[in-house]
Formats: sequence, C-alpha cells, structure tokens
Amino acid sequence: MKMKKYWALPLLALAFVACTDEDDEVQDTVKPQINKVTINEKDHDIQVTSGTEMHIDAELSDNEELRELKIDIHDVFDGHEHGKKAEWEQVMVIPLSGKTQDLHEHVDVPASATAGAYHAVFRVLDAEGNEGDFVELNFTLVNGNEPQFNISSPNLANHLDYAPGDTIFLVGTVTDDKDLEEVKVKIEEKHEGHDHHKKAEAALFEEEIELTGNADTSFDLSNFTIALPASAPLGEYEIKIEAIDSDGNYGIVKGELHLD
Amino acid sequence: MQHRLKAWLLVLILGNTGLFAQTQLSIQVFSGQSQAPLQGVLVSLPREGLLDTTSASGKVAFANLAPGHYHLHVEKEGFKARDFDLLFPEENQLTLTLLPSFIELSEVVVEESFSRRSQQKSSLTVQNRSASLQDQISANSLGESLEDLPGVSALNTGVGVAKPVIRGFMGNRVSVLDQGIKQEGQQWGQDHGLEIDPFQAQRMELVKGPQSLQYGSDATGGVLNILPNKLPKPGLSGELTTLYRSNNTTLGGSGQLQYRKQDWFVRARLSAQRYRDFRVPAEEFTYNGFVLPITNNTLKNTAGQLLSYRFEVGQQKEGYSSRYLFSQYRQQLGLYPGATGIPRAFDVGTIGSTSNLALPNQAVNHTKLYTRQNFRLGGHWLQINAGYQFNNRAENSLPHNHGFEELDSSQTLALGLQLHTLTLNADYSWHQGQVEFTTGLNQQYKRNNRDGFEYLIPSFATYNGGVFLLAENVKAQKWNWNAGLRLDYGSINSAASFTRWWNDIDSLVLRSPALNRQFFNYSAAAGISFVPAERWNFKANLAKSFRLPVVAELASNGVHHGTFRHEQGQAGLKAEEGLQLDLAATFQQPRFLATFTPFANYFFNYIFLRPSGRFSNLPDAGQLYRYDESAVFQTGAELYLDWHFWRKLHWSNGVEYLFNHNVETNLPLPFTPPFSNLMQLNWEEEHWRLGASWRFTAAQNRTDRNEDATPAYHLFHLKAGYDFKLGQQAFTLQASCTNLFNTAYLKHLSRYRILNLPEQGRNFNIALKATF
Repeated sequence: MKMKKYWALPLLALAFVACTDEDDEVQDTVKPQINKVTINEKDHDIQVTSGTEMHIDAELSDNEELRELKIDIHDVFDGHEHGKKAEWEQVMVIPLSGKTQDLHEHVDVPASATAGAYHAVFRVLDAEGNEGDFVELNFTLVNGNEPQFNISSPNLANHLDYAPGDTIFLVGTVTDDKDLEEVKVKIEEKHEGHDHHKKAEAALFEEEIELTGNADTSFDLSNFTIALPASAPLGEYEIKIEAIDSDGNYGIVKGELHLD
Repeated sequence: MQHRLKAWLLVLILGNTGLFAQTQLSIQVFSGQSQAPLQGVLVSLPREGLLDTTSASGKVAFANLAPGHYHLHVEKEGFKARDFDLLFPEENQLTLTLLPSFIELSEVVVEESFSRRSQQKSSLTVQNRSASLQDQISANSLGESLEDLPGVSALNTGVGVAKPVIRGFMGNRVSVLDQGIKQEGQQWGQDHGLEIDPFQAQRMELVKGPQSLQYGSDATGGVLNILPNKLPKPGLSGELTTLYRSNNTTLGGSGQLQYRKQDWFVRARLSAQRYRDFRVPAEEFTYNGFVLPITNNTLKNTAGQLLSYRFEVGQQKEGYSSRYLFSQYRQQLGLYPGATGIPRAFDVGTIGSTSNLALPNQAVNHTKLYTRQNFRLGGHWLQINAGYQFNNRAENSLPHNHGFEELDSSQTLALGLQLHTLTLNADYSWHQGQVEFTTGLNQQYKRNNRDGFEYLIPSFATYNGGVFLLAENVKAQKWNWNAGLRLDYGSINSAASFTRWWNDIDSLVLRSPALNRQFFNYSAAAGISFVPAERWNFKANLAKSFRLPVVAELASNGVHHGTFRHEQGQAGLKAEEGLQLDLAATFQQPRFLATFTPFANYFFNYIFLRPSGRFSNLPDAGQLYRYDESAVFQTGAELYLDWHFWRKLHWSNGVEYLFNHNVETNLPLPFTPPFSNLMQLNWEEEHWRLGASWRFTAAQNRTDRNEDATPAYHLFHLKAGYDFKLGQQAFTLQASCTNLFNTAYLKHLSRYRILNLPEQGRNFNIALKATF
C-alpha cells in the first residue's frame, strides 16, 4: 500500500531530531547571593553624613565563581521638585572572585550632597552571568543645612500609643537656615523588622502644607491636625514628618506608633 | 463521460443562441458524492474580479475573455475548495467535481498570496482566516487574536500591545505583510506591538515556516499576510460595530462605509477604543523578595486609547486593477510604573483615576500610503505594489528617574524613534507547459531618526533588494511541487553616535560606532505536496533561509528599561542563515480532519543576547548583554484535529510543542512558548452560535539564563453569537467571556512576567454589529 510508506516521513523528522547529540554538561544557572550587606554597620535606620566616608560591608557567595558587585546610590525623593538639585548619585562596579567574598568598601559622601532619603542598590553577578536578587538599603543623608525639627510632644524617640479616633497634637517647630518650602506628615503601616518584606498600602494619614514665602525659616507644627480615623486597623505604624527647604534638602524625623 | 456529453449538448444549444461562443469559458460543477450538478457554487476569476454562481444545472459561464492564462477558484460551503489554471481559449470548457467537507479550513482558496493555491497544493501549511466578529472582539489586539491557531502565540505587554509569535519566532523573524507590503514598526522591540487595527484585517493568511524565498529577510519563522478586503457589492453598503469589555471598561467601535459603481469603489473605516487600567485576580505581587500591592486588583497606569482610520479607492477592470490606500494607526497606552524601574510601593500603591494615562507611557503613530497596480500583460498578470510607511514611536517617562538630573520634568521623551520606509515590489508569472514561473523583485529603503534623552539605537538608513524565481507545477493531480531561488542584497548605514555621559552634562561619549555593512545572501526552497488518494495529503518543504541583522543587533548601546539590561550590539555580526524542514501529514474526510505538522530548523548563526558577566556602568542598569551568534537547533510539531461529530456540533483540538537549543550557551532560547493544548466545542446553527474552549498550558521550565520558569495553568472561555433582523436591518450580537474562572496565571510570553504580574482576569466582551 502506497500510503503506508509515507507515514515514515514525519517520523524520520523526529528521528533526526532525537539523534542530535546534546551536550550533557549541566549549565550553571544558580544565582549568586548577597547574604548580608550593611552601611555604617546597620541595615535599617541608617543615617549618613555628608562630607564623611560611608562604610559598606557585604558578604557574597556563589556556587562556582563570583564576578562583580554593583552599587547604585541615589536619592529616592518621591518625585517632588524643589529648588536646585545637588542630589548625590554614584555608580560603582567592584570586581569579585571566588565562591565567597567579604567586602569592605569606603564611599566618600560629597559635602554638597542634598539631604534627604536615599537608597543604595546592590547587585551581584557570577562568572556565568547569573544575576542574583538585588538588595536595597535605604538611608537618610544629613548635611547640616536641612530643616531641623524640635518636637517636644509627642516624644518620637519613644514608642507612641494611640487609639483609633484619637488626634495627635504635635508640639514643636521645624526650622531652616534659609527658607522652608513644604512640610509633610505621613502615617503608614509599618512592616516587621528589616527583612525583605516591604509592603505599603495607602497611607493612614497624609497631609502636606506648602509655605509660599521666600524666607520661611520657621514653621509651627501645631498647624497639623492629625486625626487618626476611627476605622483605622490596629497595629504598628510609622509616623514620618518631612520638611523640604528651598535648596531641596529634606529633613526627616520618624517615630513608631502603636494603635490599640 | 456522460457529463461531458451533456455539457457538449448544452453548449451547442447555447452556442446557437449566443454570439459569444468563441470568447466564452463554460464551467459545470458536479458533486463528487452524489454525481448531481451543484447549484450555488461560487466560481471566480479573482484577478479579473469576475465571479458568478452556478445555476441549477451546475453551470456558469464567463464571456468576453481575452486570450491568456486564467486562474480559477471554485468554492462552496460544505465542500472542499479547488483551484484551476487554464489557457483560454484553447481550454474553454471545464467540468469538475467537488467533494463534500464540513471542515472550514478547506473551503477557501486565497488568491492574493504567493501560494495562490488551495491548501492541498501548497507545500507549507497555510491557514486562512476570515476574521469574524468573534475573532475581532475576543482578543485585545490583532496579535493575540491569532493565538488559537496551533503553533501561534503572542508576546504581550499588558493589554493592547502584542506581537505575533510563530513557533517561537517573533519580531524580525516573522514578517507581517499588509496588502503585500512588509510592516515596519521597529518590531525588534519586545514591547512594540503590531500596529494594525483588528477591524481592518478582515482576511488573513498565516504561513508557518520559512518564506524567505518569496518575501526576503525576516520571514524565517513565518508570515502573517493581511489580504486586501474583497470588493464591495454595488451601491452603498457598510457596517457599524460597537464594543464593550468589562475588565478594563473598554468602549470602542468601528464603522465602515463603502460605495461601488461599476469598475470603481471607495471605502473608509474608522475604529476607536478607550480603555482603563486592567484588572487582575491578585492583590499583591512579589518581586526580588519584596511584596508589593496591587490595589483594588488593578494594575496602575495600564489605560490606553486607539484611533485608526483607513481610506481606500480601487478600480477593477478586465485587464487592470488598482488600489490606493491611506491609513493611520494612533495608539497611546500607559506602562505599569513598576515595569520601568524597581517597582516602588509609592509608585504602584495608589491608583488615582483608572482612566488616567500617566507616565511612563508609550505612543505609536503608524501612517501608510500604498498602491497596488495589476496589469494583464501577454496573457499573464504583472503585479506591482508600492508604499510609504511612517512609524513614529515615543516612550515617555520622567527624566530624573534615569540619572538626568538637570532635565526639566516637562521633557518626558525618553526614547523617540521615527522610521520612514519606502517599499516597491513587483512580480510577474508566466507558464511553460505544466509549470508556472513567477519572478519578482522586492526593494525596501528605511530611514530611522532617533530622539529623546535616553539612548538605545542610533539613527540609520538601510536598503534591501531581492530578486527571486519560483516555479511550480500547476496541472498535476497527485504530485505538486515548487522550487525557487532568491538573491538578496542589503546595506546598513549609520553614522557614529555620540551622547553625553549621564553625570557629565558637557561630555561626549561614543555610544555606537559608525556602521557600514553590506550583505549578499541567497535563499532557496523546494517543496512537494503529495495527494496519494483523495483523503490524504503529505507535504515536505526544505528551505535555506536568511535574515539580515537589524540595527539594534549591530549597534545598540543602552539600557532596555524594564529588564534593566544594558544591551550592546556587535557591529560585525553576520546575517542569520538556516536550513528549515517542514513536514505535514493530513487526513481528511467530510466530517473529520487531522493534520500533523512537525518541523526542524537549524540556524548556523542565530543572533541572540548573551549575558557578559559584567555590569553596565550606567546608573540603575544591571548586567551588560551583548548580541552574539551561535548555532541553534529547533524542532517541534503541531497536531490539529477537527471533527464535526453530530450535525451542527463541531469539536476541535490543537496541540503545539516546541523545543530549542542554543549550542553556544547550551541552554534553551528565551521566551520559548510552552506546550499547549486548545480544545474547542462549537455549535453553529443558521442564526446563532455557541462555543466553549479550554486551554491547557504546561509549565515552561526550559528557560534561558536569568529567565524564570512559569507554572502551568488552565483557561476557559465561552462565546455566543446571534444574528437577527430588525425590519430590513441585519444585526449580529456577539458576546464572550474570556478567563471564565478569573484564573490568576503568569504568561511566559508576557513583558510583565518578569515582575511576576498575572495576566488579565475575567473579561466579558460584548459587541453589536449592524450591516447595511
């Protein structure tokens, strides 16, 4: 029967396929890891001062061979534009070797860097080009020219206790050597510890006040009425008060708040 | 024999009454099953624009035909279509039989494509598609509407942007032709979708397998051929469709008006759509160990809008036909903010207005001006098509997100690409005995200018030109063969490109060296289609194909936002060359069709992006990837079954599998479509239709370095359609529900997969079409 011999055609194609030898060598697709990284020996609540050296410590590992570490440092001002920008931005690529490496790097923080919230992103590569998960460390940069807070009540160094429906009365001032542009208060749900869990929903409370003058050197924080919603879920929160001056410097203070 | 006698008698009788005996082509059609004459068979001479339907005695005649070669189509619903070549007036009578078939695939013959043949005679599998209202509404874009064809997928960027993927090939390895002109829209870009309105693409043909011979570079994976719409009926006619989709509150519509008077016709279509952020069945996603919110199950800033219009004027005479076309496609869509940087909680957490189209976003304007001119010369047709395209793409984002601190936030053009393309094609066929030869010429000139504060590829100019010769036998019943050869020349030119370094506003850094490359290539193909008996068909096609490198592969040097990769071209890359074998085995009965299409491809120097093991020196950029070339082997198969098991019930099942291997890296290629099975059940009555489908997609664990595996998932869809009349006005109502169970799934071929973002959730689509 003529038809039968043509069955072989598609099968021949598959045979041709199956017979191609494949290299049995297993490729290394295991990602390298950043096991620990600290700035000035801390991995949270980090403060860096302009004009000083930032100390970076990192512990890296790979199953075969490490190749490079990249450090990207720049601001994470949330998209607001205020005054001149002298935000510091730095890119560094550091060669690595071996299966494990402990790195200690010094980074000069420029004296003129704008104060505020920054982050450093650490990326690692191995010799095969496998990309490890990156690590992001947030830090606050201070340079002495940023707005300064003087808050007598509540004491942000303590763990604050409030109940839903309460009003927080801020007693204190924020001052600047030049001109304040904006002051912000934000209360957000706080994430547990300093692990990689970073979750953010809509803030519980957020208010911004803009100062339109050209030489606002002082602002009374009691201008804020911080009313905690009666429907607020119980738990841990973070209160953050930010002030921005005409040079774009951010002054930031934070506190922990417990709702029950 | 009896039929011929009857036919002769009739001709004698008719001939005595007519003056047209010598210039008339008479055709009579019989049913191959019942031997009775078939009425209502559509017999056409498409090139001449002539068509007629057979009478009760199965007859039709075409009068006043000039001597020469003619190509005839014979089609009737419920029967297998056939096509014929004949030399007139030497052959002025044709008696033929049609075999019954309920399989829609075999009921159509397509003229404008290079195959110009019924499915059976072609040595490659050709899938015809007359886009129904259901096809147009159930998918978000043209690229995605083709995913139900076995072996075809789409790489999508959220909703509204998708590019067709044929057997894992995409971008510059798939050619999309619109009215014979290759669509040029920077298709090398992963998030650059196909800029064609699904409402405009009413007749399409998809060829899986290499077509380098006919279309030149870029047709290695396959070709999507969008065919000219059929001539409108005489007088004024038109249609209006309105559309709503629930998942992203899409409101849209498309209207067409056409007018035909004798030889001339004019047609205009306008389509528009607006949609909001789309919704997914997930509240959060995990990226790099961070858990980020998906507030209200809505992916922020994925809204968009689309406006597309087309004007067409054409003429169809006996020895000449022409078409003139002007169209524009304008689309703007938001890009999920997390996709162009490290996703930040404050960026993606608060949605704001779901209809707001904010930064980052993508905008594309594609303008086309085309003409087709067909002349009958020496008994054969000379076809010329020429066109101009302008593809204007812009990617917008905030400058200080990428290290450009001194730029004002009003300067949001991150990457602007303006591509002008001029195309000129011509082909002519002639016969020598049983063989039809076609010779053709394709030319294309492209010029691209870049703009924007980011740099990825330089401005450039390219020229491609090719000539080919194709031969196929046309008279054979059992053995159909075709063979051809093509020669191509290409040149790519760009000047050395300099930009400032990101943190030094006064600097000048060489980003891409000057390019001055010339390429010479040949393509060849040979194929057969064997019909040992009426129910069987075996095909084999062997081709040597090539693809010219695109400028991105030779000279790119910048960060591809969203993947963090710094992509760098290599100026000396050679054109890709491959050997491709495509086989097909089809078994067909009136109510059942099975087709098995295995294939194997070997590329000597496949161009791919290779991780260098080094970081980029640009800020926020990850690893440096360089374009390199390697031998790549690829194989797979599709199996498609179609069974009309009970009157109006129709069951079909399509399976697809692909295996590929990069010899250099010893790893699979990225974006390999996973094994997939699509089962459909349809019930079609005269005025209404119901359908259900189930797609199973297996896990894809064969991934490239730094590519994540994707788990398996099942998707279910339902559809229903109803045709009705209100007075004289005809309407069609079409509704469908895609992702019936609101399944949360990751799609391997999705630009947002890298962020572990699920695809669109349940979506109700409803459309109402009025035809007049």
